[in-house]
Amino acid sequence: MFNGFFIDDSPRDANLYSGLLSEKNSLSIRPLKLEDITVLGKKIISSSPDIVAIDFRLDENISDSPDAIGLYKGSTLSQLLRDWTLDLPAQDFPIVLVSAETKMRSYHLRDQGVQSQFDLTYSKEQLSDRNHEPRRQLLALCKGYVEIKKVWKSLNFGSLLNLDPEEFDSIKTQGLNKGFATVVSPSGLSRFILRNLIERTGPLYDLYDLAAVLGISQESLKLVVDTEHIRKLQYEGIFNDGWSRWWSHRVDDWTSEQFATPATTLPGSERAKQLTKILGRKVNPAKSTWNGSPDELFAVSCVCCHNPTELRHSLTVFDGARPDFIRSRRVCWDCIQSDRPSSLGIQIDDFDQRLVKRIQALEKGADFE
Amino acid sequence: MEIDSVTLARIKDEVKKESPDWHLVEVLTRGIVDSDPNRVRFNVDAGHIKKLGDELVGKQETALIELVKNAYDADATKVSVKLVGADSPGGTLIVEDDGNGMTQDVVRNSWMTVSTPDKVSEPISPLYHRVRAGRKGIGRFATQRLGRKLILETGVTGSSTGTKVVFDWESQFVQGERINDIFSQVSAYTKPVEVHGTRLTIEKTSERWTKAELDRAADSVIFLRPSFFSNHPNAEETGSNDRSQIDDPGFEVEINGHATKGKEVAINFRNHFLDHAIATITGEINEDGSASVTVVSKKLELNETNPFDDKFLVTGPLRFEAYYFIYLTTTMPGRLYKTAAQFGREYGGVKVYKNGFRVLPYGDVTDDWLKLDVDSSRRFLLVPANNRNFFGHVELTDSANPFLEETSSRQGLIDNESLVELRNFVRGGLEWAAKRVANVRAKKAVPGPKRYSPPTISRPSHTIDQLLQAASTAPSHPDLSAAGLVAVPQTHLQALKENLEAWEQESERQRRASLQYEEMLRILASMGLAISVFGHEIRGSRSSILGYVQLLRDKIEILHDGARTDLSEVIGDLDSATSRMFDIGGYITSLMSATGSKELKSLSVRGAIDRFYKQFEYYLEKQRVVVTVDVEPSSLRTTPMHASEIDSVLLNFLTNSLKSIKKTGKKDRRIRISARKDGKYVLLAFEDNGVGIPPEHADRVFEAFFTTTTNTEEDVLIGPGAGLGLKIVSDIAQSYGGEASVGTPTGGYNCRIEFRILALEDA
Repeated sequence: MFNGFFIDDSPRDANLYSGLLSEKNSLSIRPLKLEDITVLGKKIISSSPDIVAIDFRLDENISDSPDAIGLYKGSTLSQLLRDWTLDLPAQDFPIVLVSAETKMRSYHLRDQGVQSQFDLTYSKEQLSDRNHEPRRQLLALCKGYVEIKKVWKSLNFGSLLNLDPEEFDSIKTQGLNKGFATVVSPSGLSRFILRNLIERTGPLYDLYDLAAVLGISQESLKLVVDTEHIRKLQYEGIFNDGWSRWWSHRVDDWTSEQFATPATTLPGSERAKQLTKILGRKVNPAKSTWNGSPDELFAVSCVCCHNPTELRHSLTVFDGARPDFIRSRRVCWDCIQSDRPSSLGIQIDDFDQRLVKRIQALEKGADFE
Repeated sequence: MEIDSVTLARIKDEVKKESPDWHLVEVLTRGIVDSDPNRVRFNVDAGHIKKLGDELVGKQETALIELVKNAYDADATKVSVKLVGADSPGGTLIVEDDGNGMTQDVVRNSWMTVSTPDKVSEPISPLYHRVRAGRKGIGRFATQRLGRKLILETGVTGSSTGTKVVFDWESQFVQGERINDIFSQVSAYTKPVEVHGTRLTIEKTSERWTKAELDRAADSVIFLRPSFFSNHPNAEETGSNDRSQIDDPGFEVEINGHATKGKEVAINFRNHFLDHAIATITGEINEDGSASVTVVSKKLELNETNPFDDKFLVTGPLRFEAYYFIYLTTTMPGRLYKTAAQFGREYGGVKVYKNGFRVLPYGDVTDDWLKLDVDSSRRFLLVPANNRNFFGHVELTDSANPFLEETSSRQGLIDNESLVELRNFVRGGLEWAAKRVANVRAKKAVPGPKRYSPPTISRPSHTIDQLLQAASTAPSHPDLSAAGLVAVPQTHLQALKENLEAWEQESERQRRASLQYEEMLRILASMGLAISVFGHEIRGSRSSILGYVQLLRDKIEILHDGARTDLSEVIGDLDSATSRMFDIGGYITSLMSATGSKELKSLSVRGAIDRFYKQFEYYLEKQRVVVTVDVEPSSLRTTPMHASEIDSVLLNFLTNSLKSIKKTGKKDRRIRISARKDGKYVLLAFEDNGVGIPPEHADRVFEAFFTTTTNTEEDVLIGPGAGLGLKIVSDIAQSYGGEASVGTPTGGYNCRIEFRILALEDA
């Protein structure tokens, strides 16, 4: 059973979200009354929590916190806690940001650094929806911290990721090495893995990426994801209980071997045909979001609609801080034409930007002349 | 008849001589003929020539134009007009052309015969097949109007000599002398055989040529031929179906060596000005008297033809064309605006051409033959339709329009029923077209006081400009000039007063309209603020309420199966009811957030509809409304606009449709959202199978505060009708160059509202 706190300046919200963050018999989150930041910080550290969740705005309901001396935001508290545990890896714990969606969006837009202090961020709306995913992830986070702290003194990244040394060596890049080498605390390592492996496409694929590389529809993928072949490709390292991920090198190697050619060189229809035979279950090919064809060379998932898309009908998303082991994200032409990237705050890379207007002017399904 | 024996003897003696005086013989013989008691005949006094010149040719500019026209008729390609010492009476005017020229026989038998020109029997010129402009044979007497002495020198190609005749109007053609008794000296001069043409040297000019008169003459030359209005500078309309075998090289007029003001103006007009007309207007009377007028405006996407109710039975078939200008910076490039307005004042109007040549004074700066200026100043015409707003011409020919005959003075057409019809036709056509343009512009005009510009009344400053211009050209009394004053006609002052009054009335009308609009904006702004706060609060409470629902769901896990099932159902209903509310709250928040952005962006119509539909998908499913979306082509994009505006439009349509569908009480509930490219517009149509719009309301639904909803609806989304929804939709459409209208529903639907705005490519 893991224990933790939720700090919110609204006692009512503190009670509510503590309940929503908790998982029966495995994760107990209790509300913690807001008080002076030092007093509160010491109280948290001295309780040795397994996890702490903090609302971003702790300065809005001051009438409910008469003991508060000075007003501070969740990021200030989180920074204080990080500072105090930096040299005490055994006392390190995950800190999760929980805030209203609109506030989170406005603060993240102004200060990208805010998010980096936290292991994970959730909107209150996400926690209210009927899905257990956040709780599953919080549990995985708590378990992961236990594992990290256990091996912290003789840290072996490969074994943490559940890869044998040879396989770990095969995926290492300069960026990945540097990333691992610079972490100085369990929370630092946690955030590096979450930010770079779990949340981005690179060494790991998510469900959408996997469908794209296999060239099959997402519905079909759900039918085959538990087959022996696919299970072998799965990521089983730290935090794997919270997120379904597949090693990209395993997927690429396996598909190349099965198809006798890199997967992305075969049309989706051909890949689906062969996978139906290999996996023993009927799978349908993906269909191009642009022209509806199953014969396209599907390679990536669209960052807007998440559907498999082909390189020739997608554009690169601008990513100003992309390490060498992270794959560039792409947006399909259909989303480009429908203005979805801008409505989601996604920016097209300058190199591809010149094509946006041309794509917008094309009839759906058509190609450049 | 008894013949005078003495006279008879004198005749006999004279003819017996070796060199008889034939002039004397003719005089004596004429005396005998005239003494016949049984017959009489007219004689012409030599002074009549003076009358022909002075009275039949009104102004000296007209006289000069008549000579230029004669050169044109003679297949000249160039006419040179030179004035020497003509800034005071007594100067010399030389008109020289490179036309066919005349042999001595032609001079003797045709040129010297009054009013019986060969142009009647040969209406087409021999070389270039031009329809000859002069028919009455009196143009030559224009020379008498211009000066006291004429030296005619003319020669044809192939001959080494030309014919020279000297006419001394002042000393020879005096009253009391019979014209037959006046002989002018003929001589021959040598010339190169290839040279041809005619040179008229008019000495002792009767009047001085002021700069203004020269300018007027130059201006008249610019508009001498209707080809001025053609887009092709070299095009020459002959007015005849016959086309020459030899291409007509055109016809140039030079005044004082260059006198190119006209030419420059013409080039500027053709190349830079005419393209900026807001519309072109053409009218046509057919053989059977039926008539129609067409107005075409690319800028306004207007192309309409209107048949006249009346028939025009005495004009004969004819056609007019006019470029229509509205001198506003919104209708033409700013850099051109002032020049264009100046052109309009100087050269605007509808000119009349007969057989390819200008009939003065129609379309002159001081002429108002269509009563456009007078009716505009009196506000009978409320659209911009002064003479200066039109550059047009009417083309007439002798054969097609025999009753539209020029007066002998060359100062207009004979005032008859035919002219009245012509005036009614042209005026009616221009007025209809100008009103259509105003109507379309008014629809396209951006509403709201800031961008409003009065389209109907000329600015008082313009009227004052005109008044000053008229004063500067009007003859001034020396006493006034000495005092630095100018004479202004009473009528002009009256027109100015009327214009100022009209301007004041229009300003007052605008002020009232602005106040009304402001009031509407205030209401909307206060509603907007309240809605914004509401949306924010709703969104803020969403996570809490759904969170409690979720928590409740977790808590009941400990209950026994039966109780858990019952409570689960209740929680499910609560979840569903609150979700609907949150959809709206979320939508309003996103709308308000998007409104915050002042950036105008072109929007994907498909993307906008998809996002809108997704927002309400859950709600519409609950309402059992089947929605069909059909966008073609998928690439359809709007002109740059605020993203929230298209959401507002769709939300307005949706709420109206839902209200209407609910009124029917039927279970089959359908909405169709379609978008098409319609010319340069995006046509977004919203259809439903509700109760529809009664025809009597079709024109009013876009008015502010017009609503048919009287009871408060209980539904959180559709709410009561404020009567502003479609007004806002209409305003948004207009501000992006389009309009909102009630359309004809497609099969299975009862109501269709259409929303047009400019598409991206034509924006």
